[in-house]
Amino acid sequence: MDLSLDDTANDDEYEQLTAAQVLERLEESWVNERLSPYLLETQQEVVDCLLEQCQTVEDNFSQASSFAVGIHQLEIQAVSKNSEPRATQRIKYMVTDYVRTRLKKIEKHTEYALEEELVKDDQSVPHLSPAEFVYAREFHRNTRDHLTEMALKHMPSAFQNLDKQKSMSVPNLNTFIFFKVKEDVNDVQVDPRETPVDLSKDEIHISKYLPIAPLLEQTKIKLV
Amino acid sequence: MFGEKAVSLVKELHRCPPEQLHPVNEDLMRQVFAEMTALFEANKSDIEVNDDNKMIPSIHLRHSALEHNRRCVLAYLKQRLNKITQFRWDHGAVLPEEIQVNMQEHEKQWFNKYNKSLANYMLSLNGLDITQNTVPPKSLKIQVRCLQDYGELETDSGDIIMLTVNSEHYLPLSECEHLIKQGVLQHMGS
Amino acid sequence: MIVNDILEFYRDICGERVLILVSTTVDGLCAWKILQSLLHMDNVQYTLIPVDGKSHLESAFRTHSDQNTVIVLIDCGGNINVSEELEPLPDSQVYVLDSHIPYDLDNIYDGDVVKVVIPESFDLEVPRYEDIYEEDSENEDEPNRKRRREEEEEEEDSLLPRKERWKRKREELLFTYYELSGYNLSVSLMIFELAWKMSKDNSQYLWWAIIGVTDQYLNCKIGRDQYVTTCGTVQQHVQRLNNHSDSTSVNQMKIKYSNELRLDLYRHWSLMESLKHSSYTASRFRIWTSKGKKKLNEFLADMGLPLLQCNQTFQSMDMEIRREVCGWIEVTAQKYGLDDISYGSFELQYGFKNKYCAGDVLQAVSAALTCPTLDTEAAFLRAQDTLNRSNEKLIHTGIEQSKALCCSLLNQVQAFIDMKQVVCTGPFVYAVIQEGVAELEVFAHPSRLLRLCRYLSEAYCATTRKAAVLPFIIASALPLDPEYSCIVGVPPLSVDSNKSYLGRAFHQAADKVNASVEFEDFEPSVMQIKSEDKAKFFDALTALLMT
Repeated sequence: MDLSLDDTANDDEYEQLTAAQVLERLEESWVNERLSPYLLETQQEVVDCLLEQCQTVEDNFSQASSFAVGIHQLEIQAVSKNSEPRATQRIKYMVTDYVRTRLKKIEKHTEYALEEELVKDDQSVPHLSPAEFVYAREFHRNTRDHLTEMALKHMPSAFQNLDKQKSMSVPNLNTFIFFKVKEDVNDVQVDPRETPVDLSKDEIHISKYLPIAPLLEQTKIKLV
Repeated sequence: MFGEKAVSLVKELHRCPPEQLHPVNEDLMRQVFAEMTALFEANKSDIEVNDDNKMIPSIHLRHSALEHNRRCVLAYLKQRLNKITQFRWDHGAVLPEEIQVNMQEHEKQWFNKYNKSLANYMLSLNGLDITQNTVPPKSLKIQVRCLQDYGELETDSGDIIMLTVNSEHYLPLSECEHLIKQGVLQHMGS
Repeated sequence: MIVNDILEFYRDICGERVLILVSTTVDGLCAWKILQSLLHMDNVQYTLIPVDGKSHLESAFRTHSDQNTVIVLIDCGGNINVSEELEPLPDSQVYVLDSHIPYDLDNIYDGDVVKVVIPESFDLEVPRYEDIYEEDSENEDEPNRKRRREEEEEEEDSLLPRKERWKRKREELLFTYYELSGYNLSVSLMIFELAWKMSKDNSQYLWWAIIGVTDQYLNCKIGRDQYVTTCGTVQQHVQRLNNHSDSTSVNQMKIKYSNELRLDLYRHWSLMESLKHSSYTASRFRIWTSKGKKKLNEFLADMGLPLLQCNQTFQSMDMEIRREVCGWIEVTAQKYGLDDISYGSFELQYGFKNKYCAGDVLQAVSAALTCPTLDTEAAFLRAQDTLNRSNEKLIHTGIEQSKALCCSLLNQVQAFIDMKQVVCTGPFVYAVIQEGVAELEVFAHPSRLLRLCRYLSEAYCATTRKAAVLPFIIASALPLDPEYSCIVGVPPLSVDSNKSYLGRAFHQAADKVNASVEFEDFEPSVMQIKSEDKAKFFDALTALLMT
């Protein structure tokens, strides 16, 4: 039976979420992103969706007089003219900080990020959104040109080329992080020297980042 | 001792306070490059002249010194770029005079390209300015005191506010953030 | 027009951006602090400009008014014709909350751009509309109706004596209405009651309102009776708020009613210094004479207080003495003719260390507000910060400045009396601060000058009792512009009412001699005059008051 075709054609790509669920997912991604040592999968759709919502709310408010806005899902309180709802400000802050955290990580580990993206296959979810990828590439090229111009050019010929593997800054994927389990997972290989463990819902553990990274991507756990 | 100059480059940067940028020490860099060239030449001649492996330790030594020098110089330059990046986030797209004066020509070009990249990225997010909103919003509006005669300020909603020295205002955070950064307004903690 | 419902006022200003112009008085400042807090809670955008005089008000108004449709004037604007002087735009709303009375009649009767907020309880004794403006006019919305009426009436001179009688009655009414100037209910208490009606009141606001009311009383803006009534109202709020807070936390603000001595800053000074410098005791003991000093020592000895203790800072005195000394003073003071040495007031306690009485805080804030080295807005902002209870350092700075001011006041009064610079013309007493005197800068602010004037009247009347029925006037050259002098006047001591005819008298006398004068301050009995016109002004004033 050929399931693969069915898999790609399933409804996951077009999940219907309420605005509240979108917000929740962004919040979780934001916290995860801040606490993890390296970039996580991109949540670009969530970001785009929320930004659009914020814009709609702002437009509505600038036109309307004071009344209870019908976008209840985003927990907006009715306030008088000329003031933005608190929730929109908070959402904007979260989105901005989420995007900023990611950019900072890209700037820190530019080459590593680019390398990772290139080796990924088409099936897996990218870590960099298209815009981020462009940004990373430009940043990398820019920096490399600058360093060449300022320094490498003046060095003896044998030293003018940087060995990528040696020179790129690799994030430390073995830092320890705390995480909370969202759903039961069995047979997790946390430490290669030990036997696999079972993780039950709502437990909080500490572990190295690398072994549990896949679980994070599958949203079976979240960082705390 | 080989590599001392390179280390002093790094130390110089380390001593610089975080909110300042000293001018590029081109002189010291040139000395490091000269040292590298000399070492390289010495190595080259040693390899060509001697077939046996008697000079291998000294070749290794020079090679290590060369790599060390390169590493120091690159670290120095890269760290300067990191600082400039941070200034972009702190001060906005136009850096203050005292920083610009100390930036080298290439660094200014790098900065312009960085700005452009960042702007393109922000465009992809519907123009969301990610350099704003650096602190979690505690309230919708904040109390600010005007420290200098700024003149008229046009808000997003089209209203005009006259900012005269020593007047106080209660404005949305988004309107005042950049003026607070510039030092025109002072945030009064509530 | 008059707005009695203060909630309506607040609702109207809440929807928009507001421009707030506050006069630099302590009452105005306290009212603003409460209103500011309320506006923060409702997220109302505002712009605040402190103003210290009429021309400042005008210029600030013109600069900012076209960007704001709602404008609030706090403790200013009531006694000037707002429509004429400030020219607000027709679609704007100007709210006036002022304690200076009488209100200009055009503010009350003319159109609906200017709204004066007055609580229902206060009886303004305003003449009826019909008595001032002719009723049968066709164009009801023309501003200078009454002037047109007068012209019409002049043409129709031969008409019914009814019109003549009406005109004469009108003139009388206007004269009586504008004759005496004084003070209404404190603006800060008004705004506190607004907060109370919205159930948003708390001890902090009440404390600020208390400072505003105390300012009115201690600066003789209201009489004793009015103060006692107001204290009664405040006391009810105090009890209510104290009962509300069930927490026993030490950091909670607790206000208490207590009898306060008329001794300036004695808790932060030594008892001796306070007795020497407070105007009440200094005048009655005549402390500038050697006999007076001896009498003071007798007074202290009578209470059994060793001189050593009295010269120490109050906090360093023995515990038992500190606890009992207020009671002793009240009892012994009767013997020495100081019958009125105590008055009802309030004190605030929060935390273990911080205990302040309203009078002390008032002095600190007042010193900051009238500081000669800062310009108006900066002084206002500093005084605003002093009112925040977290800024203990500022309160202490303010207290130190007050002490210096007290010393300057005593020195100046002593100089006046010793050098016989106090001149008693028939209907009033006056003194002039000479140019070149070191204290000139200290008294640059009109409210400080007024305080000096009151101090002088108390001191002088202690020796010359018949001067108690005369008003006192002081003239002082402006330190920044010696060509101009500031003249202030206080009503006679013997009159307990808060009303004064001096403002009106000044106006009339100045008009008579065509002196070059300005009435900058919102307080009517303060004026600026060209120094060379002083002499003829005093002559005209003498002639006027003799009649």
